[in-house]
Amino acid sequence: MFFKMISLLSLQVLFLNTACFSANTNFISDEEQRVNNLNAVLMCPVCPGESIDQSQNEIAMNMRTIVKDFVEDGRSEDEIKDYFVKRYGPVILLEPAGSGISLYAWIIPPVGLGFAFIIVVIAVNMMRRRQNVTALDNAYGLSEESITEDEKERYFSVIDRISKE
Amino acid sequence: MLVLAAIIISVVPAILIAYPIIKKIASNKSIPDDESSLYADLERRWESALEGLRHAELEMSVGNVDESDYLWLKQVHMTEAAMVLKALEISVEDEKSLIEQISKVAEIVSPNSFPESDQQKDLN
Amino acid sequence: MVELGQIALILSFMVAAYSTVVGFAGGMLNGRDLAASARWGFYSISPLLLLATSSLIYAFVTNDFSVKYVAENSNLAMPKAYAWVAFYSGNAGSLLYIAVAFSIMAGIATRIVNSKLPYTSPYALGVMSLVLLFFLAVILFLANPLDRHQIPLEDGQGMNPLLIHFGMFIHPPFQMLGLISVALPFSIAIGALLAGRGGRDEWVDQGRLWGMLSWLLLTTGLLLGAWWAYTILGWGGYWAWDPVENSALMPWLGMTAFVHSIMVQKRRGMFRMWNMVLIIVSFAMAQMGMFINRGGPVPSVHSFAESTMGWIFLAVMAATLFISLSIFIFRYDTLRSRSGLDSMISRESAFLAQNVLFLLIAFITLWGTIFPIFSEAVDDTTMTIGQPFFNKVNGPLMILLVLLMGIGPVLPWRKAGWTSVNKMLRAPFVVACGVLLLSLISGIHQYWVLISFVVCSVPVTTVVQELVRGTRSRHSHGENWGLSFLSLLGANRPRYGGYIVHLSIVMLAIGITASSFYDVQKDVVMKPGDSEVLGKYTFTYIEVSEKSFPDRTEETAKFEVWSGDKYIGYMYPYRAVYPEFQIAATRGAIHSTIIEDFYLVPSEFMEDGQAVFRVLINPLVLWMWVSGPVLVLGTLVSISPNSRKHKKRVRLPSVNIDQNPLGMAN
Repeated sequence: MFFKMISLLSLQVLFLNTACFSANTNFISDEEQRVNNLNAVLMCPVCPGESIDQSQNEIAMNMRTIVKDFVEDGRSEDEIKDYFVKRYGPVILLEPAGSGISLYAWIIPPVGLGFAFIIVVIAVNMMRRRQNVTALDNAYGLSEESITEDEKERYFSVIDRISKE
Repeated sequence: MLVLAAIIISVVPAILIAYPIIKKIASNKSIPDDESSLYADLERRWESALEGLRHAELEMSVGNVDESDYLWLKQVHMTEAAMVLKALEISVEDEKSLIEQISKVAEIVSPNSFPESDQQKDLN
Repeated sequence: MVELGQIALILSFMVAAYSTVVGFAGGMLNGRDLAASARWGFYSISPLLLLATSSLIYAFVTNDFSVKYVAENSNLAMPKAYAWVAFYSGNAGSLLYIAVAFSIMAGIATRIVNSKLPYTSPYALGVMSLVLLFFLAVILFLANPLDRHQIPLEDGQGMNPLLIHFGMFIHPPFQMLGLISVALPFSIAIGALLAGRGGRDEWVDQGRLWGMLSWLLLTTGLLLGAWWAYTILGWGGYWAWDPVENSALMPWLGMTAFVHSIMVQKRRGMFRMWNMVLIIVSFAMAQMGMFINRGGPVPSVHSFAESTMGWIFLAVMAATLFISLSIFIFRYDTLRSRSGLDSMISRESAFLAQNVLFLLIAFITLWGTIFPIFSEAVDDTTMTIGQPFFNKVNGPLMILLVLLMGIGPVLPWRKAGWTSVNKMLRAPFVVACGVLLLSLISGIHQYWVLISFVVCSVPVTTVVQELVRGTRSRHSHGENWGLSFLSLLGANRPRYGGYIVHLSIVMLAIGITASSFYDVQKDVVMKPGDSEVLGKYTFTYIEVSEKSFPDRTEETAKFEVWSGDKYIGYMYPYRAVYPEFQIAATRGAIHSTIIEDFYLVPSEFMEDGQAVFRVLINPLVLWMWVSGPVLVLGTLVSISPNSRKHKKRVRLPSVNIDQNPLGMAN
């Protein structure tokens, strides 16, 4: 059974991999790939939030042409990004840069992660130490210790019977 | 015309709002079980303890937990269920003594006007 | 007719106000007749609002352009079937849609809650009426879709052409329904807090039920939105981390955390405060979602219903947060856990970790979404954060969640020793190694794809392992294989329904991973007669045909497509230009297979007969769309009432005074 399971899963994996693999062979040139990558990280200046890759706007189309020309000229990715940043300001980059105000965008998530971790540690510690339970939870002041072995024996047989009904 | 329509439409919610108060539909029914009562709470805990037991049983039969974990889980849930039963027992005894007290008072007030109920027969 | 609707609106506003006041009063004074009156009154709201809705739709159908809202969102050219879409395509109408949908759902919820939780229900009803009252107040005083112009118009402005599509019938209604339905579990939770009669777990079953339904609606809305964007809007993607998308995702994240952690309270009486906080926060995020969609401060492609009213939603959201957290703090003492955490290796702690991760993702998404406001305030530049940031930051966290999804469900409650853990996780570990090896052999070398696939294999293995082990155990008791499998599923529906949902999430994750790392995109310039090749696909641009409509001109391209030497057929991507709106809408043509989608979309038709097309190959996208129905099925299984268990429900042994079934010595 165990081996059947493994073979089943392997089949599935093989299927997935061929799917990606078939798409992975170089259908498009490196240049085209670079153009696509750049288009995806440059924002269309008049349709905020959309990349020039997504946008059907004329400005976006023009920018796509510029990117294509620059890549064909052999300019590097950073050079092209710089060109647009100079023209439109750092706003044009969809991915916040690692400097200036944009740095905060990157700093907050790891800080949040750290904060979450601390919260979990504190919460777990609090929960490990049993808290004072409220009156209802502790009806008649009963706790696990307040049940004697005799009572346990008597109750357990009843519970056992009922739970197997 | 519009005024007439307005009146006709407003009759529906008016009736729906007034009817329960005039007819006292809720007061005439028996008082529903209180979902926050001690008994309801114990019932929930009883169910979750038994659910835990069944779950442990399932995990064991399926082979997800080893013997020692299973015994521990079983013990824990059994104890939880036992606590519910004990609490219930105490509450029943409380109730018993309460009834006894009341009936004693009743006897003092008028020894013959308090008919013996079936319950009291059992108590005696 | 419209005036009739107005009357109905005003009446429903009054009834909602009555239900709010009398509902709370009934709860506080323990006046059961009062509470019943509030409840019955509340039931009358949905017919009233349906009347208002039908009067608006009637105005659309009869082209009554004297109604402002109709004039703004319709014209003579609009197909009549779209009257329903036009109804909620604008701001005022969408509010009415939300109100009518909520009144119906809340009516049903009130009925059920009242039978299960009679003492909580007046308060819950009060909260629901209050929510409805807010929407009705906004409709009546700020954005009334039934208001008339002074001077009647000949023709309307028409609906935004991007909205004239079949998808409009399904995605927005579900999305709005999902967002507002978060108010149901929220009301029940706050109702239980307000009733505050010492009990803390009584709302759990109802909270879970309505929480799951709300989660289902939110998920459906999101998936339909993604599907619509992909198949229709024609940019080849399905999710862009746009502010409106984000604000719909955030309550989903919160609710996902909630429907999981509510289980801990049900089973263990723990996480009582946490669940309260979760549902409060989720509702706040849902309000935020409606706020951003209504002309909020963040630029978005979804700003169809723009208005300044967003700020009112924001203020109300702040008030909701403040009031509900105040109630929470006021009742703080009753919400202590019944029991403690026994071990770090347990279902409980897995749930805790999952909860925190979900909230963290929600927080990061919020942060990225409001970053433009932040940078504007600090630096005077509006920095918009886009897709790459979210993918880089949230992607890894989501992979971590998938891993937890594999490990968490097989950890037993309370405590697990290492031998148990070993027993359960050996197979997943072996399979994960196998997946890694096979992936490497078959040529996957992208770091994140490897991690994602390996992680995805874990939940699949654990679920399969659980099912196989459970079925085998039943089979060994004498049932046949098929029967034992079905009875296994039936015996513990919340659990196995959850597993089905988990499998669908894995399908989604695989689809997302494959299509974001292995998509191929190419822009080609072609003139009729040209052939191009992308991958195994050969496509020939045959011709373009132009068709004129009163409101638009459509240019449809005809392609003949071959996959290898297999003939696929003709594909017709088209582009429509709406001169009045200066909008061009493109519709892609997709050839979808289980392995990959071949996607053709026109970007530009030029004067000289040449045209620019974008061609994409997106692997495994179909898996994402198939995961939707699977997910719905799993959710329904897990909330379906367990009739068999209900009959044989283990009651407390009745300890009556006159009989003693426990056999206890007197």
